[in-house]
Amino acid sequence: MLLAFFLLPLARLVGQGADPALYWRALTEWQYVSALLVTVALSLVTAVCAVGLAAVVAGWLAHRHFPGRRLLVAMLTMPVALPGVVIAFMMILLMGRQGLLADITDWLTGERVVLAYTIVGLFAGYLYFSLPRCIATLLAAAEAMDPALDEAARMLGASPWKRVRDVWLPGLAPALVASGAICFATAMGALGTAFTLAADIRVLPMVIYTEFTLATNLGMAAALSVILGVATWIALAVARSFGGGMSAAA
Amino acid sequence: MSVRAELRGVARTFADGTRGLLPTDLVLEPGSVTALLGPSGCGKTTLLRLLAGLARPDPGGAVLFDGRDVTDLPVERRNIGMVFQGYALFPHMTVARNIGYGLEARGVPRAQREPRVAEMLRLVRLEALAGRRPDQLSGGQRQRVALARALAPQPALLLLDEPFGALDAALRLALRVELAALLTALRVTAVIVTHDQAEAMALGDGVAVMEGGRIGQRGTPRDIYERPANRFVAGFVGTLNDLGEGRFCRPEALRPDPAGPLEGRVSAAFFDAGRTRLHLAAPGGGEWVLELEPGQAVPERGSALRLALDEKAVLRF
Ligand SMILES: Nc1ncnc2c1ncn2[C@@H]1O[C@H](COP(=O)(O)OP(=O)(O)OP(=O)(O)O)[C@@H](O)[C@H]1O
Ligand SMILES: [Mg+2]
Repeated sequence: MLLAFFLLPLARLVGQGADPALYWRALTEWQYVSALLVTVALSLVTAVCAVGLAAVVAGWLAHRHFPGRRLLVAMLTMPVALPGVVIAFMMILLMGRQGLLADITDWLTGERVVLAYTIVGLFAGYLYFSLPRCIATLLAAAEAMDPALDEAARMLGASPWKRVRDVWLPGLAPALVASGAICFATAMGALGTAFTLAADIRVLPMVIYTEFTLATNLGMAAALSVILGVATWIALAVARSFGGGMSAAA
Repeated sequence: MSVRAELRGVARTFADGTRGLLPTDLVLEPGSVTALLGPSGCGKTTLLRLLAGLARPDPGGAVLFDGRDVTDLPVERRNIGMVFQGYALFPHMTVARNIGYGLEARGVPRAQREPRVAEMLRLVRLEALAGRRPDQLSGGQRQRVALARALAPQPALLLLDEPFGALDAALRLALRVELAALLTALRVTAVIVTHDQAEAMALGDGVAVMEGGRIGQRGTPRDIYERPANRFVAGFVGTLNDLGEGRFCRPEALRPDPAGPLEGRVSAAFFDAGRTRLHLAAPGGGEWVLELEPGQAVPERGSALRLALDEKAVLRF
């Protein structure tokens, strides 16, 4: 029963788009290829930025104790619980036509800058969505590292850069790869955020949606879904093989 | 090469108000080996970290190397070698790279590093394992890598925090002999933290006994054993028999003698490497311990035994 629940839709999906010509079109026709490329590029950039920023935050917070630390960590990791649409709405409040950014630029230059519906807005939304998870994962990994390793490197005369390269990066590598892959997979499939924010950009989840609803091109929607699914699945497999027992990862 | 290190009024209070170390003065002569001995939580690691520069003393305290104030000198520039309580070897590096890391970090070119690493590998007898990673080593081998890594850059001061902490008794004993020989040969100023009094006595030219965040007594191992400054030190270093009225003695001061003034009831006898250790229930309710000469008859459990006391060896607190 359970197996059928998982497998039937999957089989149906693959069956719907079974025509090789559809895959050929999906991977050659510019409107689909561009969407695929934009999606992959945007997801990659999001993953790299989120992991990079989170690593800096986690590295700084690990083994550092000060009043208000718990509150800070709670605030940094809170948006984990927010749905994509809510985050998208927050981005619109920040960078939309009536947003904070528009007000500031209006006051500074007399022009209202609106980024919410551009790729910048989408990127900011994805980043906002991914960052808390990355921070939670990497902070847990950094806390689990032996603080004596960093101290040993310092006592042997290693500069901060050398310590980052020789102690922190190797120590955090599994968590970095795991959280990066999860960010990538989440960004690849984030319809809620994209739907609200991507007025001018074609990202894959959006294209699938329009193929299906507006063009009623069921076959193409299915083929694109399979491509998106495979890409996401590969990213998650990478995450799993590196992240073994990383609890906060998922 | 080796440095004269000094703590002047150094104290350490933690963020939560715990006093890890009360204001302490301590001088480490160049080339001396000092054993820091004390029960768990008495501040041994705290003192070591203050010397190393891994922790800052409370305002007013100063750390001096050869008379120079280094309180504000960062760890990276103090030229101190340290063997951590859990060794802290870099897990993804080979034994050879671990050992050469201090030289690498100081920008010593590879051509000059290699002979030094080879020399250190020889010194700790690990030539055959140069290419292994730390997780492929036994506990004793890891300990030797940690020691070689600390010594490779020729530190002016060597700090060892419970270097044998995680090892079994036989290995501890073997490594203790090895380390003692190495330290004598290198003549580096060294501090060894331990809570094992036999280890402290065997390794240190001088012993500092710590108690509740301060140094209770400093002296040679013999001084501390024979003339302990207070009840705590006396009890921590060796066995102490309470004779009542503030009088104490070591096991050697007691011997069986039918005409002796003291009497106790035999409660246990332990045979250990040729000698027998006798435990007696004292009349006051306490316990006395003494050692029998080899070949001396062992009295039966529960029997009364009269003892003679060497009055010159009585300690009063
Ligand atoms: N970061 C800290 N914050 C608060 N208290 C601390 C901290 N580190 C140590 N202490 C306290 O300071 C005291 C001395 O600790 P220290 O680690 O120096 O003991 P130690 O003699 O090395 O003990 P052990 O033999 O168990 O290693 C202990 O009471 C300990 O609880
Ligand atoms: Mg300690």
